[in-house]
Parts: sequence; structure tokens; C-alpha cells
Amino acid sequence: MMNSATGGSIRRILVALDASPNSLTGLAAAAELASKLGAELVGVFVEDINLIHMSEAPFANQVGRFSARRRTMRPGQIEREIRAQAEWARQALQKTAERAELRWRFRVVRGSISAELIAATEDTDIIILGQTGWSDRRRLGSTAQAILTQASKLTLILRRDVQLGLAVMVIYDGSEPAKDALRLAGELALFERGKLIVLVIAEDSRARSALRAEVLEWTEPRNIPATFQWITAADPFMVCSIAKTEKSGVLVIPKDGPLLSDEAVLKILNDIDCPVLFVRQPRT
Amino acid sequence: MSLVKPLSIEHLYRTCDPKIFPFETTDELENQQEIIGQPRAVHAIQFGIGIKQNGFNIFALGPEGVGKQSIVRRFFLAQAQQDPVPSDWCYVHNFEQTHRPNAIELPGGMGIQFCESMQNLVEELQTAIASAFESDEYRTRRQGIEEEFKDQQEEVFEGVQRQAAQHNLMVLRTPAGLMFAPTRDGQVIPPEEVQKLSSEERARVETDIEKLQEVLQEALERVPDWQKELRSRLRSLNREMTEVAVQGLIAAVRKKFNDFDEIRSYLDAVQADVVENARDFLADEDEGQPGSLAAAMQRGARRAEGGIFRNYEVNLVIDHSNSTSAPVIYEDNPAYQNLIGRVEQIARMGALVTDFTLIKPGSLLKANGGYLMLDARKVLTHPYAWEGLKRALLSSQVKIESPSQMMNLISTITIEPEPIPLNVKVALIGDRFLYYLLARQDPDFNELFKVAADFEEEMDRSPETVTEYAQLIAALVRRYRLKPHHRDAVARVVEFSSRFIGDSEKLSVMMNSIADLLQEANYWATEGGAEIVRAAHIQQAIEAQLFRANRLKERMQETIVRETILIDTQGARVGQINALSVLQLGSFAFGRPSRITARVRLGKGEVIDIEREVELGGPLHSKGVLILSSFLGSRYAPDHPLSLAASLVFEQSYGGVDGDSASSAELYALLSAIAEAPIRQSLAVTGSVNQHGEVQAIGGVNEKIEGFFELCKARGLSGDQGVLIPHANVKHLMLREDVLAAVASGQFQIYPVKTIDEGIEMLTGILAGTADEAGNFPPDSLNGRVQTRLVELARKGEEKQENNQ
Repeated sequence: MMNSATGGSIRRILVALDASPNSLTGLAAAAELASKLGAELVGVFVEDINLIHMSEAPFANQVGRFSARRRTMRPGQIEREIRAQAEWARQALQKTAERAELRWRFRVVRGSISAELIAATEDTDIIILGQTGWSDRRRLGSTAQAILTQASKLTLILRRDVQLGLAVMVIYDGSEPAKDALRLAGELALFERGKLIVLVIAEDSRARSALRAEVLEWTEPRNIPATFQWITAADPFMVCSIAKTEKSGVLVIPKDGPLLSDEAVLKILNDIDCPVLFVRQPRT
Repeated sequence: MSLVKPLSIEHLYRTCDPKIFPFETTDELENQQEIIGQPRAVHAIQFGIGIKQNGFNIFALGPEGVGKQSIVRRFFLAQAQQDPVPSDWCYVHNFEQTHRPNAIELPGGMGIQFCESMQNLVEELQTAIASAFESDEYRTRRQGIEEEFKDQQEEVFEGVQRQAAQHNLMVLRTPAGLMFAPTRDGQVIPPEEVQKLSSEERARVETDIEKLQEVLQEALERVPDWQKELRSRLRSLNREMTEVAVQGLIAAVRKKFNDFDEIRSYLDAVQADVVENARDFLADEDEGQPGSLAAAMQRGARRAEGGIFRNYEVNLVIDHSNSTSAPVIYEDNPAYQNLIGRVEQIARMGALVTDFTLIKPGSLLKANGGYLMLDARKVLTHPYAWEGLKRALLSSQVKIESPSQMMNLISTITIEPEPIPLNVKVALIGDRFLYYLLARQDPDFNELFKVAADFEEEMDRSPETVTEYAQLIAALVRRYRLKPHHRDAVARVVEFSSRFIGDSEKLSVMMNSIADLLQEANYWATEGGAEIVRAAHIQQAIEAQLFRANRLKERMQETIVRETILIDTQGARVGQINALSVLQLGSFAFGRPSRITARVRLGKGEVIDIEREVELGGPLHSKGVLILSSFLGSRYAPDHPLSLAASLVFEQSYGGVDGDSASSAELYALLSAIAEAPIRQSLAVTGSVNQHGEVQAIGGVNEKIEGFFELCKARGLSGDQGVLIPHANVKHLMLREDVLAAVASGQFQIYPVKTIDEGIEMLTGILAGTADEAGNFPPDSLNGRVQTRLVELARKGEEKQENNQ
């Protein structure tokens, strides 16, 4: 019943780099994952076309984020600064990859950040993103939101100060995306030598038992130790609180499943403490 | 002529009859005592121990080997058993002034409990604080504060973004800051299109951007204040959580030591410090995070030294947990730091640093509340030790500082530990010279060592004291785990003791020499396979000691026997006599004969002492010669000038001569030379003389007699050989067995002489003669011949003077 669209096929890991602490956490997690799965690390640095455009405008001033001082931009200044950042990001990737003895690639592209990243996902299997944007707020950044809604691949979203953990929790509602999610979560649990927590969404106990049987049918032959939690509806608050009690190291969410709306997903992302991995059906 | 009678054998040696002892061997003796013959010193020590006022410390003075230290120790130990166990002392960190560690006093044995309580406390604090910071309550509250801060920040920035959107502007993030861009349909307008905007539109955009930049600037300027507030709120949250975690634990310790004010205030300081530095208790929270090299090194160094918890350690410097009585300590290396204590230093990052855990106590502190014994000479020869000891005793406190600190020469980081009150009884042990030197030269000395325990080197020999002596020997036998000593061995030791002190009516209390003899005799007994030490073993030990020591004596004897040094032991010579002197080599003394010669001629009444002329004679020797010239003039020429020039010399003497024990011999030689009466060379003479012609006692009589006897024996005893000794020295005679045997068989004689007249009669065989009322001696007598010669010389002198005029 399970198809092979996802698990076992992560060979290239895309990590978006912008030289911020968030992207460095993403890089560390990507390297860890790549090392476990034997995958290649692909770093992408997007030169923000908007910025470059704006720096050429006659009224281009910038306000220092730390100093709060206004400075007039000199021609080409932004480009130079962006190039320096790109180089810095390349070095960070090289260092990390060499330390973990990984194959790696690095690419600099120019354009809109989200569009370029989504394009870059085309020839990779998973994209790893830091969660926040330019402030320290918890809410999901605009780039991440765009990728989440538009990209067709696996997306792992990390909070800044959180790393991948041993326990893998997956939301399971019996849908096809959920099956993919289960399969991937199971593989991760096997790699991590950790446990698998299956959060079953079922309206009644009969449906729950059926779903549970489905899961066990898949996990037992593979010797994946699974425990079960049950909720009747995809309530973001419940999901977060169970993840917290179970000390979930990573939460795997089937995207496009019938029970989880985009709104609910965003809410989960904003409230949860652990990294979240989105599994999406390939659009074929 | 009634010549002096030689001494009979019983005068030459005072035997000790083994039968007076009511035991067979020393094993049977129950009353053993190690201290005898020191009533004065014992009284002084008891007084010194009993009196509690300051300054009544003890100076035990006396010659080496009388057992000063063991006697003082015995009394100290006995008293210490009665005294209570003194306080424990520990040093703790001073949280207000870190360079001045505090001293805390606790009842004996409680120090270790305090130390352990603090160790446990630190361990428990680590767990308690860690769980407080890991608790859901803490995490939630912390997150709450952080969220609040983030929300606040977000709200402001979103406000800016909203305002920007209203003006069709977008906030863009640049590598170094933020900027505003005009948008159309949510997208930034490309620059080429911006160029196409009408000047009004551009002006409007620019004005909008200007305004929004101001708003943004204002918002950004508030960030540091928010961050400051965030930090301060997090700090007070941390403090609150720590306080809750710490309070109970510290209260438990406080309850245990509630009776001690110092500990209570120390614990208050600890609590405040722990609350202030709670993050230090969280193990390696910054581990794995990139940090500066310096920070990493600091962490490493902290860990290497026992970490940040060092400040909560207790340095228990004085621990009486295993004591049952007051301490009695003998410091055998009383260097300044061993006495006062020291603050050690460790190298950290290339610099020497220290703290209160590196304070080490000295023997003054270890003996605090008890007794301390020190060797006076060692204290005086170690730099600053005497000064340090005096300072501590005068101020009644121990202030641990290095000598360089004491002299203000300090150059490295150091600490000033709080002084500890001192209550110790000190006994300095030294010789008399040091005692009198200190008493004269150091005014503090008399203030600090008011009790002088003056040890004797000898005691009277009586039946009672001999019995005590036997008990002493028994005690020494037991202390040194020797074989039992037979009573004949004990008797032989008693005799040895009299000989050792050079007095048949006294006994030596030089315990070391007696103990050495007993141990050596025990060795010989073991060698001989005997189970009991007998007199023969004692004798063997005495002879072996002599044999080991007398190489030089034998060489000197040999030079005389081989006539390199000329000493006659037969015949008679005018103006030549055998005098006797003693050489002391360490603890070994021996006698040797010296030839003294005298020559006279007409002169101005001087007696020239050639030794003095060449500065080989000491002052006492010169004094003896001046006395005899005075005797000569007053006795033989009271009415006319003494017109002779006499010279006296110690023949073949190449070193210095001192002492007046040869003055009688010099007088005999002079009288012989004046009267031209030959002196028997088979006799040797010792004794000093006074202005009335009386012969006075001298020292080393036994060695002197034996020295001449050995020479005569080596040449063959002729039967008329002997020694003239002062009568006053008869009581000192304790002669060797071979001398006694020669005297007993009539081959050698000892003559006790009271006056010069008795002596000269013995030596010349001519009657000395007694003066009549006019002061004239019979012409045939020796004194008459002297007088006649002197009168003759006086007449010649007058004639010569007249001729000269």
C-alpha cells in the first residue's frame, strides 16, 4: 500500500544560506541529516534582486540595525556586501561539509528569494529552512511561508535554537500523504535509533484501531518501535502540547492531507518547539 | 724529713659493690624512673606548665645529652592528657574582601563536620539549582519573558511595516541594515521604473521614506533598552529561582551550626554569592557553543583548580577530630614557614596566584591549645624564625604571612589570612651559653621565656642516689628494649658515671652517654651470645669507645716513647720537670706529659714566661706565672730586691697553652734552678699554686695521671715513678684498672700534695725547711739554698749597679 515516493530517496539536501544564525542552524541540521542518509549537501545563496534594485535607486538609504544610524548607499555597495555574505556562506558550507566528510555543492543565484529557492528544490529531495525572518519573532517568515505553500518537496523547518532529536513524531490520518509521512518518519526513527510516536487523527475508536493496524502492518516487519497517541481532530494546540509531553525531536506532518488545513499548519509551526518536517505528495 | 705518703688503692677508685643492689637483673626492678638528679629543672618545668599567664614559657638550658628534651616532653605529655582537646580552625573565603580569608573557630572535631557539610552543600546545590533551571516553571516563565520581549519588538516593527505598506513601501533587509523600497502590487518597483516616475511622485516617495526611516530609527533606538530590561528581568527570575532552591539547603547547614555566629554570617554570604552566581552551577551550559579562546581557557583553568566552587570550600587547617588530648609537638625544622605557616601559590596562566585554600598551618597553630618544643639553636639559625616566634608569642596570635611580606618585600599576589589567637606553651631547648646570650642581648627574651629550667650535669653519689641510678638504668634498658642488665653491670655503669664526670663523689646525669654505653654493651652482649648484660660487657663497651677515639693519643704517646718529644722518666735534672696537661677532642679527653724547664741568671727580678712572650700562653697561664713570681719575691726576698731573671718554657710545645694547672710545676722547676737542686724525672706534677705556696685543685686529674702512667708503662715501670697531685683532687680520683694494679703492686704512686714545700721535698729529696722568726731558712734546706742564691744575686746586682754609676 505504501508507495516509494519519499523515504529512502533523499539523496540531495538543499540548504538555504544567508549567513544568518538561523541558516547556520539549518546548515548544521542539514549536515547531520546528510551524514546519516549519505546524501549530498546543496547550498544555495540567493542574491535578493529587490535589494540590488533598490540600492540603485536615488533615495536608497539604509538604517543600521544595531546602530540605528541612517547611511546613504554608495553605488555598488549592496552588491559588494551581498558578495561578501555569499562568500562567507560558501566557506561555512565548505567547512561543515568537510568536517562531516560530505559531498557538497554551492550555488549563488540572483532573483526573488522564495522563487529562486522553490526553483532550487526541483533537483533536490528536501529543503531545510530556518524559521524566522529578520526579527526574533516566533512567527514564520515570509520566505518560509512561500516555500511551504509552493514547493513540492520535503520541507524541514527549524527553530533557531533547536536541533534534531531522537524521538520522531508523525501525524497520521490514513491519507496518502500521511502514509508517505509515516514511511519517512519510520526511516528517520530507524536512522536515529530512536522511537516513533504516531499521532493518530481519527474521529472514533474504531477508525483509530484501523489506522493503528495500518501503521503496525508497516512498522512491525521493520522492527520500528512505535507508540501511539490519539486525537479526534487536527487541533494545533493539542498537537503542540503532545509533541512537548512526548519530547518529540522532530515532528513529521503530511502536507495536503485532508484533515490539516494550511492555517492549522501555520499555527503549529508558530507554536511548536521542535523542528517540523513537511511531507508532500509529488505533483505528478 | 717526712715525705708525703702515696695514696692507698682505696683512694684511687671508688668502687660500687654490686651486692648493695637488691636485685639480680634490672628486669626485677619495678620502680623505674627516667628522671633523676634534676629537682631544680623539674620544679621549673612544673611551674612553667602550671602558670597560665603570658610570657611564662620555658627555656630548658643545660649541656647536651642530659635529656632536656625528653624530660620536657614527658611533663608536657602528662599535662596534655589532663587538658581539653583544643579548638579546630578553618579558613573560609571572605566574600567582601577576597584577599583577607576569614578564620573560623569550632570545638575540636567539629571542623571536619563543617567541612563535609559544605562539600555536601555544594554538591546538592548543583543538583538543586540545575533542577530549578530545568523545571517547567522556570522554562515557562523565562519563555514568557522572552516572548513578551519578542512580541513587543515585533509589534513595533510590524507597525513600521504596516505604515510602510500604507505608503506603498516595503522594508528590505540588507546585509548591514534595513531599507525602504517603493512597491507596486506587493513587488519592489525596479530602478528603471523608478526613474520613470514623475518628479512629484519621486519627491513623495522620498518624503515617505524619510518619515518612515525616522520612525524605524526611533524603534531601533529603543531596542537596547528593551534588551536591558529583558536581561534584568531574566536576572531577577534567575535570582528568585535560585533563592528558592538554595534557601532550604543552606538552612539545613545553618541549623546544624546555629550556635556559631561566624558560621551563620558566613552562610549568609555564601547564600548571597550562590544566588548571584547561580549560572555557574549549571554544568557546561555554554559547552559546544562557539566562544572566544580566552573564555575556553578560563573555563579550563577554572575546572583544573576545582572550579568555581572553590570559594565555598573550607580549608580545615587545624583538625582535632582524631585527638583525645591537647597536642604536644616538637618541630625539628623550625624554619619560619614551618613555625608560622605559609600561603602556597600555584601557577595559573603563567602567573603565581593563591587563595585561602592554599593556607597551610605551622607548628605554632598545630600546637595551639597545647605545647610546643623547639631547639633554640635551630630557631636562631633559621632566618626570621626567631623574630616570627617572638611576634606570635608577644601578640598572642598567629598571622600567617611570608617573611617577605613581613619585611614588606612582597612582589606576587598574596592574601592576608585573618590572625588566629594563640595559646601555646613553648619550651625552647638549648645550652646555657645561648640562654645567657639571649637574656643579655634580646630584651624580648626575658619577657617571653620567664621560666628557666636549669639542668644539672651531675648529682651526688650516695647509697640512695645509687639505688635511684639503678632504677634509671632499668628504665633506659626498657626504653631502648635492651637485654636485662645484671647488677654487676649496673655497678660498673655507676662507676663509669663517676669517672665520666671526673668525681668519685658524684654521678653523671648525662643521659645520652649512659644510654649510649648501655646500648653498646647490649650490642657486645648480643655479639657474645649472652642473654644478660654483665659488667664485662660494660667494660668491653668502655674499652671499645676508648679504642675508637684514641688514635691521636697513641700517636702522641709514640712520639714521646720514640724520643721525638723529650720526656725523661728517670734520673734527676736541675730546672726541669714533667708537667701534665689535658687535651680535649670532642667528648674524648686524655692527658700527656710536657717538659717544663727554668733557667735563672742575674737580672731585674722578672720571671719571663716564654709562652706569653710569643703569645702562645693564654691569660690563665700568665696569671699562674705572675702568682708564682709574686710568691718567690715575697717568700724569699721580702727585704731586698729580687735580682734574678728567670725564664720558663714549655719545651716542644707548638700550640697554645692555657690554664694554671702547670703553675706548681713551673714553681718547682724555678726553685730547682735557683737552688741548683736536681728534680726526680720519674715524677710528674700537676696543680696550681697560690701566693702562699698552697697547691690547689685542677681539672682532668684522672686523665693526667693516666697519661704519665702510660708513658712509664711503655718504657717499663721502675717502681719509683708516680704523680704529684693536689690534695684537693683526691676525691676526684677514679683511675683506670691498670693504674690501680700498678699502684697495688707498688710500681706506681700517687702523692697528694698540699703545699709547695711538700712537693719540692718529694721532687728533690731535700728538706724544704721552715723559716725562723727573722724569715731565714736553714742554710741546708732547699728553701735556704734558694734564699742564699737570691741574696747572692741581689748583692751582685747592687754591685753591678754601683759599678754602672
